[in-house]
Amino acid sequence: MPPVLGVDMNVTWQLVPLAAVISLVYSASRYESSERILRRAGRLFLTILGFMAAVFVLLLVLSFGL
Amino acid sequence: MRAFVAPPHRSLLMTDPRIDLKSPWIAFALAFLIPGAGHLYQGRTFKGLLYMTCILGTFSYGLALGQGHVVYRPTHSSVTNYYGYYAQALVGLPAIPALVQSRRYEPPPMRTEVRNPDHRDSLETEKRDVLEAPLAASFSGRIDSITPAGQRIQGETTGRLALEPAGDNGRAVRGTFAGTLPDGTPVELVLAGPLRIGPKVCASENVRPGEGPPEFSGSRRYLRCEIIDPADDRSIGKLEGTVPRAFWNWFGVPPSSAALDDFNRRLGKVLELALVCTWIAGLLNLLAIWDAVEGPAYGYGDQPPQLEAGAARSLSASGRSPVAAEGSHPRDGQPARVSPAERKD
Repeated sequence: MPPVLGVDMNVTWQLVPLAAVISLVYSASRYESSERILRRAGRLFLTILGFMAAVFVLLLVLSFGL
Repeated sequence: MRAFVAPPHRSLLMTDPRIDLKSPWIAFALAFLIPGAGHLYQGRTFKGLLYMTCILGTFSYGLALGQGHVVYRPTHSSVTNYYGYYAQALVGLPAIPALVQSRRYEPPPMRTEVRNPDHRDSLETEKRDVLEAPLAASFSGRIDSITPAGQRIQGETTGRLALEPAGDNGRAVRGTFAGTLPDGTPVELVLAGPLRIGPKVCASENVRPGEGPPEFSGSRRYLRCEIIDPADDRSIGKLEGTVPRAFWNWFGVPPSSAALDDFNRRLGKVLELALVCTWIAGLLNLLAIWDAVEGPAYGYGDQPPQLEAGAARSLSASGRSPVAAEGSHPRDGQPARVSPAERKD
């Protein structure tokens, strides 16, 4: 498989571009103004990443010492 | 008591007057077939390109991760197994070939007759070892033969193969092979007798069915044929290897359970990720289709946030669009424009 696809890295990293795509398309379906779409998509993207990070930390804490 | 008056059709559309949706049905068809095409038709270039890039990019990425084997319509099993394909089908044209391929792979009458999980395997066994039409293709594989003069020819070879059916419903063939050995020695052989060949339409098959670890391939077709002495039609060896399988004979074709096992073994988690990418792409196109038909859900996007928040609340309470709720619909006369000073995000 071509290395450009990035399959050798951890699968979790693949969720970052996926979150970006979801944020962009969702925001584009809400508004028409390109400036507003991009700004809102950026915010949504950070929210998703923040949520994922929070879940990651929570699981890390819960699995501590296992 | 007030009599119910049906609202005019346009009032049901969540459309800002500045957005020209043109013909929603044409936009719907285009947006379904090619993500973003409906918006390009409407002149909404930025959103059209954004949808196209994001949705087709995600779908193509998933397809590439799954090496082209993740988009197919299952030919048996319960309805829940179709959900994945239903999601992929929302991407439109890129997923539609899988519908055609499932029909080519398994004609409709067979579909209703047998629904057991091993059906595809037995189906492939039935279609194996049959040459449907004359075959002329490049060949790569091994040769093992003893010439009439007693000389042994053995080793890897590549060359050109020409075969045609010679009875027994395509199970017997006759043809020629012209190729070279690794040391450059040219060989010309006459082929005949019973044929072993992979199915014409197949997602992936084991192209090394003998001893040793199996090697699956969709783009290659296994072939084994007898080499004969043209003087007396006596078998003097065999030619075994692969010929190319056309792209449209493996892409979008439902895999057999053996091929599925191979995908899972080789790709592991990547296969799951590939499936998820294609599903998400299809579901995202649902939003894009809706946007092409109805316009953006929260309006143009240049209203101040408090206005939108109030509009969104009235939308959920009344079922109307935020734009209409703020009196900006064409039916209501004046669009809710705001000065640049009022615009905040």
